[in-house]
Amino acid sequence: MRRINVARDFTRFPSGRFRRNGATSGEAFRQDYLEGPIGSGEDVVVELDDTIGYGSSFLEEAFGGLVRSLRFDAKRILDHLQFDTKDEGLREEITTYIKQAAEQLNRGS
Amino acid sequence: MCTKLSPSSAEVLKFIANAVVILIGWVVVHHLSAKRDRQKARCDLVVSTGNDLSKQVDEILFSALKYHQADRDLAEERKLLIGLKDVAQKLAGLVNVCTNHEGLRACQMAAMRLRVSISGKHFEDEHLAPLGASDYQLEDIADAALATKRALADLKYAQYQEKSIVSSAS
Repeated sequence: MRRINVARDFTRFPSGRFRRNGATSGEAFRQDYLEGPIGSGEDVVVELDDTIGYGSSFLEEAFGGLVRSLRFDAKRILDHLQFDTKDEGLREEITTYIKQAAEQLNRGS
Repeated sequence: MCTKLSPSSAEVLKFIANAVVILIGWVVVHHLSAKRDRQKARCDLVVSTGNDLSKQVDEILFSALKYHQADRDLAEERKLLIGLKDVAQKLAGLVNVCTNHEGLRACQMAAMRLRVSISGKHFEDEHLAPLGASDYQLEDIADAALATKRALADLKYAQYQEKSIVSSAS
């Protein structure tokens, strides 16, 4: 099981959606920290609480984008991904993005 | 074998029995009073936090409407993110204090919706130009802010409902 603390391992100031607009974006976090372990079936715990906060576009691109890039269904992603946070809303929001991205992927394919 | 108590022994026993009854009564009253004080302190904390959060949501609403209708402002973005996180943290802090878990969860979900409405699009790197005054996103933000304030008000008022006081006192 791999533990990723966003504030310690990535940045305390996550911002933006796309990598071309910044190294602290959701896309950069996904590509550098999530795609490798999740793609190879490793269990990952993401510790979310020590940053200054998250924009929803960052969260959608980091976690919803995981479904689009790996082309896994929501269950497969969520089976390997856990969130460590006191903010229930944050956990709910991320889970929603993963499910929505999977639904969109299903409709598109 | 039955021994007859002297009048003075009977008096002593009667005194002890009375003292025990008084002591038990005092313990029960003290216990109930302490429980009521704790309950009142808990209610006061939930209500004052609800009031603070409601004011904070107003400030976030004002800042968000300004941010989305102006050119991109990095300082304002950070201020919004910190404000939204602070709201979420204060709500999370009530988990161990507030007995109305359903009401608290409704507040957390409303705060999440507020974050999504403000930062889900046209935020950070996606803020390319100011939004027009009639843009749908501005209405969505205002709607989410009002829903959050409504959920906070419901949480506050529930503290004074007879049912919640009775159930938490029992």
